[in-house]
Amino acid sequence: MALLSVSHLAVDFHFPRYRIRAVDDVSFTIEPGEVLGLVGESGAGKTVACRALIRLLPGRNGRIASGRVDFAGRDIARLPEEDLRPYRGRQIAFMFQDSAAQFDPVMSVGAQIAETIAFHDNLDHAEARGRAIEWLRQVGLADPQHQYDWFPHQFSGGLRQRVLIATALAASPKLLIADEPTTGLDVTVQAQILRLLLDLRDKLGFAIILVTPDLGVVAEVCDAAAIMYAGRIVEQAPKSELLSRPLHPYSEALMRALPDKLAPGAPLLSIAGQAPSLAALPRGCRFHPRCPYVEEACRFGDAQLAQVSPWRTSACLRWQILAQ
Amino acid sequence: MNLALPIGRRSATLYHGVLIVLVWVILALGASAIAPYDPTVGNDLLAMQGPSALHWFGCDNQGRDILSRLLYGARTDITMAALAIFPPFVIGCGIGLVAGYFGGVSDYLPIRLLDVTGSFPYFILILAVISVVGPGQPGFYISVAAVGWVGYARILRNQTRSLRQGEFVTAARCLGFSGPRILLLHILPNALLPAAIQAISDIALTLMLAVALNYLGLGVQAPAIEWGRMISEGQAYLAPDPWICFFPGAAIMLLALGFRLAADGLAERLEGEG
Repeated sequence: MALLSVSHLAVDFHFPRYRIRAVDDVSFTIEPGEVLGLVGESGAGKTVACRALIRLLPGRNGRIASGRVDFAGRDIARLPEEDLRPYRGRQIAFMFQDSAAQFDPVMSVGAQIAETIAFHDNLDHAEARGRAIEWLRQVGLADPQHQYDWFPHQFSGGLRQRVLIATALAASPKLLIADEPTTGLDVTVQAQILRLLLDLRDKLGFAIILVTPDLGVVAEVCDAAAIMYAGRIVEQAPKSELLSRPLHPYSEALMRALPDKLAPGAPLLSIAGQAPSLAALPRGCRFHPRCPYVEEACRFGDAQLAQVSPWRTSACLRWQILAQ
Repeated sequence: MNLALPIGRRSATLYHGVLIVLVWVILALGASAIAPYDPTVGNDLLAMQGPSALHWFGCDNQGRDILSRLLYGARTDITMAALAIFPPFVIGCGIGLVAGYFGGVSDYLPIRLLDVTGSFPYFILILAVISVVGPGQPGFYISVAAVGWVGYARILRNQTRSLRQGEFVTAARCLGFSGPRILLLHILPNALLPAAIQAISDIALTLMLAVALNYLGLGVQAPAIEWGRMISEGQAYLAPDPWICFFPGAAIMLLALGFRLAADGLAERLEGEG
């Protein structure tokens, strides 16, 4: 049974005179231990889709409009707040983008990890402290006994990201949602952090949803990927199939834009045009104004996800052409 | 005050302030050992005697040694100023925290009360409260608590409102922590610093208030020794014998300056680090 199965999830943000559908008809599943990449540019709805899973949407005006979120066989999208709370941290853990902002600035990082452990496992202070130190060791800190007492600002970006991983995993969740965990880190540190996440996954068996704008990251660590564009998933595929043959023009364009696919010295490629505003979506396929394969049907027909194979879907009307 | 120090001007403010306050606290605590005479026993022969080698600050109208009375008076005034800070601080922080975190009615009511209280002059409200609860030391503490909480409540409310939007609060909710737990363990410690700085700088204000009320006869009652009362008692002899009022007045000024400098220096240092 799938660990998490999201079906037809839609998230609305309500404003006095209008509402904006930030996530529209999103469905995906993730198996225990799987690493799923959620890819898309800023504003595509990746973060909102993830935060909707545990109903901690930014601001106060976001609501799940429809859809199901089945976690370990139970629909948690409709659970009352009090019943949902035990899922947070314990079942589904979250790492947000900015590691510096996620720690309480006036509490030592060790105490914050210990608090999580003590809270979820009902341990006393000394035991929680011991386990927190063990976590700091597991994520690769050189001197966990001593660094337990450090404050968040005393760590470098890469180390802080490691500590954040320890905090997120401290309650032994079954699913870790990592929202751009390597943004803002330099390339070598990025690789180390991704490696660390995979090693811990191998050891502990939790699944990961990795939110990233970078297909290169997907290529390195993910088992499968879902590509989001303007609030919808436009393509889902196992990693190898996606990278060898994308079946949506947007995925294809993203891949072409990867710098390592280019000859040295060649200019970087970008996708022409801009992602549409969610308040003014184009008719038809949402990608059609930027699509090189556009034809008349794309401008009017609603581009639904089509089942390409048992493991793949594409929202392109003309995916057969891309498949050739 | 020119105690040149090999540390920056910034911390010199703090240093000087703390030094002044510390000296006063030591003088007050050691009053019984330091004071050259019994502050309550007068000698008619010495009444209104000016400053001399035996009585440095002179004697008052009942022939009591002013220096000795100043030292004992410091006890009363420092105690009143320092103790009066706590009740409004605790009340204000509690109300501000609840108002800022939960919003709605718990926000609306205190804020209206806060606006009303803030629109009256501080001293007028203090006098109004004292006229209800009656003069004396309890009246002083009650009135400061009743009027003083609004400042802390405002600070805590605004801090809490901005902190609760913060990433680390969301992160804490993602870890499954309950609202009250986040509020007390994570928001409160972060919101407290500005209120604490405010409290320390309010000590100077409550010192002046205590002295003023005592001067008006609304605070401590005879035979308590206190600076404001010393001034009111010496007032009748101001023209011929100004030292009776001058020395307590100077003492008040110096101590208030010390609290002020300490508070400013501390605020600069903490905010600079923050």
